[in-house]
Amino acid sequence: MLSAQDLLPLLHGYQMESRRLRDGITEIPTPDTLTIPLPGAEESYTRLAGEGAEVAKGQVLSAPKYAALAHAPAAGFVEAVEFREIPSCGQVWTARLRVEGSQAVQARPVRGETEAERVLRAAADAGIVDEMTGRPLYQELYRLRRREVSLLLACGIEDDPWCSSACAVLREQGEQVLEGLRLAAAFCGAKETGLAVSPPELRALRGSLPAARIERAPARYPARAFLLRRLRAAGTAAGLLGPQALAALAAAMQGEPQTHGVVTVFGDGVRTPRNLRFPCGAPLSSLLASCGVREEASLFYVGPACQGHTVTDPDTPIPLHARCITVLLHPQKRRRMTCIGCGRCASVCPQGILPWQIHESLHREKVDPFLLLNVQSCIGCAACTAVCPSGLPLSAEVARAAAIRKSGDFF
Amino acid sequence: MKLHTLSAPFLRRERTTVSMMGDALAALAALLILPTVYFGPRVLVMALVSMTACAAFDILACLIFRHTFGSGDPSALVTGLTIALLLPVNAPYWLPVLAGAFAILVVKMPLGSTGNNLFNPAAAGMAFVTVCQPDLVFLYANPTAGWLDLSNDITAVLGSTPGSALLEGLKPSLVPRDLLWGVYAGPMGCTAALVIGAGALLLLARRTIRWEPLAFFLLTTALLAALFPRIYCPALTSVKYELLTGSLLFCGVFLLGDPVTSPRTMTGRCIFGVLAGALLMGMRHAGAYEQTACFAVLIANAFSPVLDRAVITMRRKGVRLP
Repeated sequence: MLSAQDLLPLLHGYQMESRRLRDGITEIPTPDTLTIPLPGAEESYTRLAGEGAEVAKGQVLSAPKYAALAHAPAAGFVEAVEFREIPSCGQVWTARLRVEGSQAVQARPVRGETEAERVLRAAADAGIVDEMTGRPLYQELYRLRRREVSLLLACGIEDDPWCSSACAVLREQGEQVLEGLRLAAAFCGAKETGLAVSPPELRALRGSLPAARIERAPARYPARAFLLRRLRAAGTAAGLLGPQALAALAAAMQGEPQTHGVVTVFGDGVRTPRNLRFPCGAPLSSLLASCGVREEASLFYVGPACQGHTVTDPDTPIPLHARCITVLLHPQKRRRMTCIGCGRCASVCPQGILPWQIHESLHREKVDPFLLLNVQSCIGCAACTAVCPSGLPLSAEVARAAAIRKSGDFF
Repeated sequence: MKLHTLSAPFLRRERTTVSMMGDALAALAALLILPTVYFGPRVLVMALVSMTACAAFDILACLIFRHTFGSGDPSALVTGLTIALLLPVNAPYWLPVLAGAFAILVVKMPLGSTGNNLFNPAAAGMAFVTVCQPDLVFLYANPTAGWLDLSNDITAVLGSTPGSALLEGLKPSLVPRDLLWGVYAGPMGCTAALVIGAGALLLLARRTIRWEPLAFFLLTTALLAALFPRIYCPALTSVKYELLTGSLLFCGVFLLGDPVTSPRTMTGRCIFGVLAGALLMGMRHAGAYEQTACFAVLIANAFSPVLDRAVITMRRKGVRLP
């Protein structure tokens, strides 16, 4: 089994029990240029600020139908609106903002008849993104309400042993997170609220937030999936939401949009690892500047170790829900060999998928969709790819199989 | 600053296919130590000849079938060493070469090399030479008679094996200490039960082989040996002789444990172990040869895709199987 303890020697030689950051969050100065991703704003009428437009801090830049709103993190004027690649967002429209001036949109408390209406309006209007899933918070709230959760947890679980942004938010903005949690629970109809934390962080958080119910996450990767499964087995339908999104929800009730995110910058290529609060769309170089990158660094990636994206351009904008940026000196290249049938992929899968069988089925002359069992339930944790001794991209293949099943055009 | 682009996960893989085969090679190489003490350097020369031949045939087959070689795949070495350990130490040097040629050129490569072979190449090679040259394959030197010379002449003092005694319905006269340390005539690497057990523990601990085929194989053979003994003796004595003599234990660990040719579902592996054990004991009772493990492994190998398919079909129908 790929437990967290097993994961430690896997993760580039870090001994994370001793090196996990316990610092607070440092705010970086606003860079001169911000490239704000406008996800879901493919139609031109959803992009509200065109080239050359002057915008105030907190002004809405895009209002897409099925994605989160984007707000300007600072005042300035829009230099360009262009289509480009953003890590963990894919190819999206972006607005390049030259920061100058100090006008700001005046924040007004959210109005509404019932609290549920106010919560939903706040989550949607403030453009809050749940950093654990990368989806808009209002959609997550709808999903949790549909699933009739009875326990709503603020997720302080870090699957990467060195990432600490969620725990830093829980420590620094604990009261705000709990307020956001109360609001979200009121919307979803959850009777209980609490925190979900990995074992190493348990004691520290119990000290700082003594009133909250704390769920201990299992030590096996992916911890979030196994925690939900354990709670479900005990008869509790539980839901997880990111602490940054919950803190932003509490602020959004006063009309504050979510324009800043928290990210952990770590890795053996960084001199001083830090938790940083950054404006949405800040270039990677501005985040790395305060941490000191070594000259020999050869790999940057944004996001968790199992699902992250490599970045080669220091000007790449970082989206709100990035959570961690890792800089490595000596990445290991994976040599691909044929599947030898060791079955490790199936033994680590939290959803009971047989990735080796999907791999085999996809490499047949004709794909039999009825042999692609269970693929829709994949949560994309990539534990199968991580343990495969032959270096096969199994999680990508399961995703492809799920797409084939979903498309329905196999006859 | 030179930046790489890699795809996730950005993790160091602690186990690779190559390191798993390295484990198997280490466990097999440990089996060379005791025969070298009993028979002298001929053991090492045999192993070297067999491994070199298999590696050479592997390269040749890559050229013939236009595969790329040099990717660091040591499976041919594992095959070579397994063949050497299954043969008698006094066999002529061309015998492992013949077995290796059949294993690599006929069984492994035409089916698409490592990872795609249906049958275990070493077992197939051994089965081939057993059928072709049974008199040479079952001619075992006596370990107590001193070191053998390196030449090809069969001048060794031959010993009677417990396997042939059991086949004739006679009780082998061996003390348990000799059985465990392999001081009796038999295949080169299959006699020292203690070393095989230690190798099995290493491979199980490193998760290179799975426990299910081995456990169910041993359980089935022990049960059948206890219920239907070939010699007139108490059930436990029958179990002792059937399990510890011959190539049963070696094949259970190194041939049945091969992940490529065993089923990939847990239920499938359990049935596979039972099947191989039942076949082996059936062949010991009804067969003409004293070593039949390779044949049992080959027949069981043929069933492994069928077993997987059956388990997956059952799962599709909603039956919860591991």
